[in-house]
Amino acid sequence: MRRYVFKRLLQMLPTFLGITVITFAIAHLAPGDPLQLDPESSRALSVQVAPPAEPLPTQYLRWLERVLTFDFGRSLADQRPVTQKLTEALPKTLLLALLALVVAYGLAIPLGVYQAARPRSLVSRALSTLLFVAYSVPVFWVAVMVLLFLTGGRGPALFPFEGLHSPQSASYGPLGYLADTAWHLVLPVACLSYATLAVVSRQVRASMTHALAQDYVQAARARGIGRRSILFRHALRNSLLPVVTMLSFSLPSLIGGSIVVERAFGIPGMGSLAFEAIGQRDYPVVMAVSTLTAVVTLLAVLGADLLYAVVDPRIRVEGPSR
Amino acid sequence: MRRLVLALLLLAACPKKSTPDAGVSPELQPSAAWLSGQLPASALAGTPVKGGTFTMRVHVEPNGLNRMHDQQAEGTMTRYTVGPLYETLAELDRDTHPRYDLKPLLAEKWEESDDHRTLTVHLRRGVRFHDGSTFSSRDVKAVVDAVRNPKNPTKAIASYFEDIDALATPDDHTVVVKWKKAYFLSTRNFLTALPMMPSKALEGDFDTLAINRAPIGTGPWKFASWETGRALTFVRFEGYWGAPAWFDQVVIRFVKDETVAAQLWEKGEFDLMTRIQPAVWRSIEKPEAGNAWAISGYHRVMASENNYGWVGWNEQRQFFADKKVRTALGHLFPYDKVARNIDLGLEEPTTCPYFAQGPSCDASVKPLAYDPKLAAQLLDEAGWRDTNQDGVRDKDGVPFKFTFVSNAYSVKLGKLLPLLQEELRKAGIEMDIEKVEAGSYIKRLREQDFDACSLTWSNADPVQDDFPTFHSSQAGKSGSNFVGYRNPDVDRLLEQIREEFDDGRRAALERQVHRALYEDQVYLFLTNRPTLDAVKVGVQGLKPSLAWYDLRRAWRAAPPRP
Amino acid sequence: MTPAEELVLPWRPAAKKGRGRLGLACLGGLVVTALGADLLASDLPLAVRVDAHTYLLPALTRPPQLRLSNQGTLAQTAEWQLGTPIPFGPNQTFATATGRTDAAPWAPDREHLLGTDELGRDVLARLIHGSRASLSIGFGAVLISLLVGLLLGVLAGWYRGLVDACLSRLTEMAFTFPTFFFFIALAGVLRFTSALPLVIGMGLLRWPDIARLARAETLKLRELDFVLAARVLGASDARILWRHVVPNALPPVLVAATFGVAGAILMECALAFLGIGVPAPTASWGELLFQAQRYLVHPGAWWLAVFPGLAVAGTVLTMNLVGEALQDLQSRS
Repeated sequence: MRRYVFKRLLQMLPTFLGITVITFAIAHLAPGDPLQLDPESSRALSVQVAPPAEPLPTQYLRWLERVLTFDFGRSLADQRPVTQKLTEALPKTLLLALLALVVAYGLAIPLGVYQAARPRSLVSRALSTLLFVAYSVPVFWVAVMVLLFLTGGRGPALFPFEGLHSPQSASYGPLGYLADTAWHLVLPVACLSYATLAVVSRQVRASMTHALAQDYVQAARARGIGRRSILFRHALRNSLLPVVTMLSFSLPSLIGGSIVVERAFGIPGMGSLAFEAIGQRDYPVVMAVSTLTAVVTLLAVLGADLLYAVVDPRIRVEGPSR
Repeated sequence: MRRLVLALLLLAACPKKSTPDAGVSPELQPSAAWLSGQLPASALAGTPVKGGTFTMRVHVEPNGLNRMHDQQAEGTMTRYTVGPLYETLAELDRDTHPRYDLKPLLAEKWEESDDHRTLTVHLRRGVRFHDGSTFSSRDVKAVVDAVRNPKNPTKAIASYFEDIDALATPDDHTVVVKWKKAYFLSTRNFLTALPMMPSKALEGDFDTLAINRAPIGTGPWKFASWETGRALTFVRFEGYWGAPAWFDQVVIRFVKDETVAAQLWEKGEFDLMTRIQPAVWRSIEKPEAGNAWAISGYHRVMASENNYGWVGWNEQRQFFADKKVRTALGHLFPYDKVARNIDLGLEEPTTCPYFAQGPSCDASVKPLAYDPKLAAQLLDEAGWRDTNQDGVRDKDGVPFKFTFVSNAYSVKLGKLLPLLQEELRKAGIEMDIEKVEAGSYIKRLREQDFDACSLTWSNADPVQDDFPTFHSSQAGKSGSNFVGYRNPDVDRLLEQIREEFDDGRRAALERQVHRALYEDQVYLFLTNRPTLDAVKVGVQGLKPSLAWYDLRRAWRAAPPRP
Repeated sequence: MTPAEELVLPWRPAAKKGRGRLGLACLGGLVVTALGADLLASDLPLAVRVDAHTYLLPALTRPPQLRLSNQGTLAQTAEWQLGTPIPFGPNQTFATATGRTDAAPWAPDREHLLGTDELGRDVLARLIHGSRASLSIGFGAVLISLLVGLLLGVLAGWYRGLVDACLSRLTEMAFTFPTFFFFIALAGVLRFTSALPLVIGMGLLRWPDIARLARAETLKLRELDFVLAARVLGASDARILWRHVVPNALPPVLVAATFGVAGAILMECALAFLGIGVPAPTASWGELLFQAQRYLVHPGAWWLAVFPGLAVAGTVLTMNLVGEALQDLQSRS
């Protein structure tokens, strides 16, 4: 096992380096000066930053050296340490992505099991159609629609439309604060999770159906083991394997999707940070966000792979079949 | 899903609030003052009371609050910090609209020598900074030194003070500035452009000064907290030298998204809502129950500002070198359609680069009219004819096809350009639109890498110098003459203006500049955009002016006893 | 996006067939709409006789003589005209035949079935013309990823070793690299004056998916009898790959590509939503959605967001249905 972990980490090294090279190249090829501009009007200030005299490869190596010690330099825009900005933003994005993950898998598994157990029922068929359609509906559109119809734009103001807290939330006390945050998270998490929910539940249903048709299930049934026990004890356990593999796909797509959700719901996470930094040509932040996102994604994939290896011992010999 | 969509559509079809209004109840009938954005006299009168929090919306979050740093000097925030938090040596006197004379603030008085090359400033005594230190001439010198230090990123503000020859501080309360040459704006710049900060706070690496995030000034409020992405809070400074402010706290909420801002405003979160979008301004006018919150809960404020939008044609391009072509383009601009559908009748057409309400604009200059026939004639005269019958005019074998570079985030341009494009196509001119995001936009303009562009110039002071914008020496990288305008007569006038200290004679010269610029159609002048704000009913004493509101004079009336 | 090609679909064949047919029919409709956009919605008619001159298909040929006309004005001046089903062009502002002058956006009514935007441009006409941008971006991106992915995937599967290792790393990179960031930055580097950079960028991000599949198929195929036979007969590698491997690796790859089109269309819309739109002469659906956001609450122009969203969702659904049908076909053969 240790060897497998080591091997996977070693494999990730070139990927990581490749990503830093691309990031660095993009940031340094982009035209424009760092500036702050009122989008609509007024005298814009563009700041002439003296170009460093060093050649790009040297600059890259210096930057990489600092990155390895988690020093991303200072933001060109507000001169704060980039690390400080990241520590403000990353938890919000991770919170969103992880909550969405929990919600998606938490719902997908029972839904999938139900559909596999009663494939012919009306509810099951309606669910399968609904989930298929949901997979096709763009996230940002859903976000715009719920913002329009559920937050008071045109329709009842059931949910807050912006941010993670109410302005007065600091005075609510710990429980009230938590409830307030949860209330703000409902729509963003729902928007972020439904596509993953659709995909995962289909996978669960497929592998459950497959498992239920296997000999050992038939045998168990013949021995008179209860329906419930067959479903959860025998079939589910075996069909979770491919579902675990999906984790390594779900995480990157959730982290990627959070940029749209953050923009739509005004949540100051990594997505919003990256977006503004690029607009301001704030290269240190741009490079940091991109690198960090990639690292988080790589770690997530690694985690999923390891989980898979734990569940399925065969993997350790070969490497995951992706 | 089909059911879900149906449900969404049904929701959409429902009116916003289900209460049917049988006749319009009186509190829903907006008054004439409300409709025209004039504050009622009652909102400015009454006996001030101390206490309460004042919350306002701001549409950008600054990078920092050191107003001298190039990346923190962005214009919008200056209004909200210089005055409440920082103070300058003098301020614009809001009671002298439209002249805006100088009024002493941290300076008690000042004298100019006869040759206008020496300025002596006598500082107010007994002024303390928020950190407890005493304000003195040492601090003035420190601020000027910081600005003029070539190592500091203060290029934008330093450009005003390039001509300082020497600065002396004979005693703690006197500052003497010597200028290399006489310039009509020197005194005004020196007194109003420099926010005073304690000299100690300016020591160290300018990029990472503590005051960039936690400013220290002499104003009636002092910095309390800055929650990134959300809000900036000031609290009353009890050691203020002048009459204390009424509000205990000032909270500046950063809300960039206009839709979100409008929604928060509707929830009553702001005592002052700023930058209301024209569409929102108009849509809350309908006397419906759904608009009661605005009609009876807020005073609307529409006030003139010193700004103007313009379309620039790059005169280095063969299409636009000829004045006739630029005039023709002016005649092709659908002013009425734009006013009706984009500006929603809220903006004033202009022909003038100076403050429209001041004496520097010649009222006899009339805007060009929308006149496609005249435009076609002018284009023909300029040699742009459709010789090959392909629907596009050409000259010397070159078709009249150009690209309009537009700032991707500008709402107004996004609407305006398709209209212009359609008009030009009818006149035989092909216009492409290239959207560039803000980062590259100014760079493109500065490098004159565009055929046509659009921008708004704005100035918080009615007294201004247009030398950087229109003098031929300012074309190219350093100045703001992006269109590459060159007219020796205008050059001479602009030079004369710089050395003219008599307000009347200077205004006369400026009117000449106005006439010449419009005659040359240096820009396609668009409109003055007014302030569109709203003040919560109960907040008293907020009077609009070019120098923004005077927060010191504002207070919240005690709610009427039940 | 999660690779849907890994899913096993337990639908009953009959239902699936129906869905597949529905998907194909919708796809056909979409393609026809995109190709014939100019004939479906235009400011100029299909045929008209005016000033003693008959114009055939002016909607396509756009004669300079009719430069100042549209179907509304021609209705008064022409002897006769044969109009397009939607008598408005996508960029025609304040398009009305009834001479209304109230402030746009206009809500859906009989003249504008899906309403107009803030400049009085017909939403339906814009949707019809926008399908071109959206579909060509979707198909274009997938075509690029198909070509690159197939080539590299087959090579990696055939030669293995270093090529294979490099491919895995590249796949992992494309997979972990923050997609949106890539495009936001790309938009900064290249001037997006056409859709091409976007299409290429998307193709480059998506090829590893295809390559992975092609590789897996090739690994399987190279051990099969007919390939071994060809080898024994002394056929060159290039010939074996071209004649035997590629055709057999194609079906699963095509399934993935179909889902890929859906993904690319979604991606384009998401990018436009974030403001990284394609400055096509006529806005894509995503661009329409992006512009709509400002008018939703005030003045309440819900139709500007609802219909483009439905168009996107419908198209993506169509591609997913077709993909599923192809997958089914392939798993049965």
